[in-house]
Amino acid sequence: MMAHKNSLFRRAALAIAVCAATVLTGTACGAPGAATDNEDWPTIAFLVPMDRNHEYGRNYVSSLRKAAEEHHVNAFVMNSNYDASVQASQMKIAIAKKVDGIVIWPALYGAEQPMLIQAQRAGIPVDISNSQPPEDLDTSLYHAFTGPNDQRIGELQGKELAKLLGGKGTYVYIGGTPGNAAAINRQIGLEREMANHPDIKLLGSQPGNFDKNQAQTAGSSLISRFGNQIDALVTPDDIMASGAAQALDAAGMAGQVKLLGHNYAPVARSLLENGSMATTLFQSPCWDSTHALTTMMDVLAGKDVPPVSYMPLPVVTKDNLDEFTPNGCLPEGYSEPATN
Amino acid sequence: MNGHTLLTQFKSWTAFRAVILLALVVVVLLAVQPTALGSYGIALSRIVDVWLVAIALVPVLVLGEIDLSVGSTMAVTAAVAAQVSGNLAVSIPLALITGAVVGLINGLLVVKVGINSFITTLGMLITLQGLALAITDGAPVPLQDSTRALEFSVPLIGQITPDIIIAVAATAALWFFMTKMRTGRELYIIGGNAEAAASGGISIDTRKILAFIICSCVAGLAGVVDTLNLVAASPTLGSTVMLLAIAAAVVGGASLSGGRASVIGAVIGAIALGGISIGLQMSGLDSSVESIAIGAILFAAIVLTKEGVRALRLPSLLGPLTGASSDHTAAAAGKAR
Repeated sequence: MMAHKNSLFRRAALAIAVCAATVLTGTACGAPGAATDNEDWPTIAFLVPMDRNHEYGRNYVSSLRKAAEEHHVNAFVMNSNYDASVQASQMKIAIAKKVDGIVIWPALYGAEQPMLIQAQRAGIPVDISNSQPPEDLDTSLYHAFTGPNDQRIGELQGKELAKLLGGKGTYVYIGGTPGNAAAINRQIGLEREMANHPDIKLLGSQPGNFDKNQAQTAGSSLISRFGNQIDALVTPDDIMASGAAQALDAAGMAGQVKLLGHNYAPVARSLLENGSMATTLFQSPCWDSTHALTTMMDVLAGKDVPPVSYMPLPVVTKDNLDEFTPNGCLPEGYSEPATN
Repeated sequence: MNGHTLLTQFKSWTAFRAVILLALVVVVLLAVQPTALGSYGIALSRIVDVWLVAIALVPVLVLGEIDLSVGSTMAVTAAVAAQVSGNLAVSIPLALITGAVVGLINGLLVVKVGINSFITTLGMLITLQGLALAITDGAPVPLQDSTRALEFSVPLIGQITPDIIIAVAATAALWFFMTKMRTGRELYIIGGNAEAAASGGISIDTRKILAFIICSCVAGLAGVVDTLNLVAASPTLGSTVMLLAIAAAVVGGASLSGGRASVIGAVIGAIALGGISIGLQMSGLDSSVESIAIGAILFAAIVLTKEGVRALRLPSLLGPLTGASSDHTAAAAGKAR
C-alpha cells in the first residue's frame, strides 16, 4: 500500500518539478519578451504574426521595444505565428488586460472585423500595422493603418523589371504563401503594372511560401521548364530571392537572369554586391513598428492621425546599397523620390 | 470506501494525470497570473479548436490508430462552409457532411485496402491541404452571412460564447457514445485486444470506419466553429492544431498503442495546455516559452505513467514500482472511463 502511495507521490513530485522548471525556464528565457512593467506608462498591445521566428518580425519587435522604452510606453507583444485563431484569442487577452491601445498586424487577410468589433465594444482604440486590410472593411472600426503598401511594392517591382528588360522580355514569378495578404497584394500590384508593358511576358509562376528552400525548389522547377527563355526572376521577398539565386547559380544562370527581390534583407546586400541580384526594395521593419507605436500614442493623446500612412520604399541597387542598413531604420529625413 | 480505495480509483482513472496537471496549472496561474482565471471565457474560447480535435481523436486513438488529417479536414470544411453557400443553414451541414466523407475515405483505405492509418491520413492531410487551397483559390474567404457569424463572438452566459457551448455539447455526445453505448464501448475492447474482440463477434472493420467518420466529422465541426469565429475561412486553417490536439489527448490519458483514451481526459488536457498558453501570454512572455512549456508538460505526462518511468530508467523511482499492480494497460483494456 505504501509502495503505491510512494509511486504516485514520486511521480507527482517529478511532474511538479518539471512544471516548476518550465515556469522558471520560461521566466528566464522570456526575459527579452517580457512586458516592461511600469505602471505609470500607458500599455499598448501589439498583436503580431511573427517575432523571433522570422528576420523581419524579429527586427520589427526589437525596434518596437527600443522605441517603446524611449517613449515611456509598455509594449505588450503577442505573437500568433500566423494562426488567425490564436490572434483572435490574443485580441481577447488584450481586452481582458484592459490595455490602453491595440496595434494589430493581421495574421489573416479579411479576418480583422470580429476582432476590431470586440475592441470597439471594449472602448479600446485600434490601429492596424504592416498588412493593409481589405478596402471593404469598415474604417470606423480602426483609427489608422501604418505600413507598406503591398500593391505598391508589386508596382515598383514591375517598373524596375520593365527598366531592366528595356520594355521587352520574359520573366518567372515565385510568390509568397497562398492566402497571405502581402503575397496576394504584391502579386496584384505586379500584374497591374505589367499590364502597362505588353511586351514583357510572364512564363510561369510557383509559390515559394516565403521560405528559402521552397523558393529554391520552385526556382529549379521553373528553370528546368523554361531554361534560357527566362530573362528575369521576380519574387516579393529577399529570403525567397536567396533561394532562387541558389537555383540560378546551380543552373549556371546567375547574373544572366535579372533577379528582383524585396525587403533588403542582409542576404540581399551580398547578392547585390556579387551581382546575383539586380534590384530590391527596402522595407524597413524599424519604420514599420515605430510608426505603429507613435501613431497609436497620438491616438491616445487625442490627436488627429492620418487614416493611412505608407512607408517609403527606396529602390536598392549595387550603386546605392551603402545608403541603407538591412533591417535597420530609414536614414533620418528620408522621403521617397517622386519618380517612385 | 477508505482513503486507499479512493486513491487507487483516482490512479486508475485514465484522466488522472490530466487532472493533476490542470490542478498544477490552476495553482500556478492563481499565484502568478490570476487575471487568466478571471478571463476563463477567453481561455476556453482560445482552445476550442484544440479541444474539439482532441476529443475527435479519441475514438481513433483508442483503436491504436491515428488521424493526421484532422487539421486539413478543418481547412476543407471551413472552405466548404464559406465558399459553397451564403446561407449558413445550408453550408454548415454541407461542411459536416464533407468531414464525414473524409472520415469514410480514411476508414475505407485503412480497413479495406489495409494501408497503415499513419500513411493513409498523412496522404489525406496533403491531399486536403491542396483541396483547401483549390476551393479557396489560395485566399481567405469571408463569410457572406457575416452579420449572423459576428453574433457568434457574443457571450451567451457570463463569458461563455456559443463556440464553448458547441464544444461542451460535442463532448457530452461523444462521452455518451464512448462510455454508455455498446458500439462506443466496443472500440475500447478492440483497442485492448482486437483478436478477443473479433472472436466475441464484434465487427472490427465497421467499428474502425465509424471511428474515422466520427473523428473527421468532429474535426470538421472544429473547422466550422473556427470559421464562424473568424468570419472567414482560412486555406491554412488547422495547421497548428493537430499536434497540440494529440498532446492534449496524451496528457488526458490516451495511449498511442490503443486500448486507453478518455474524452473527458482529452478536454482536461486541452484546458490545461490552454491555461498554460493563456497564462504565459498574459505575462507578456515570448511565444517560444509557450512551446517549451507544452513540451515540458508532455514529458511530465509521460513521466506520470509507470511505463514512462521504466523507459526513462529512473532508478530512484523503480523501487516502489516493482511489483506494483498494473494500473493501466491490462485493466483499462476494454473499459471506457
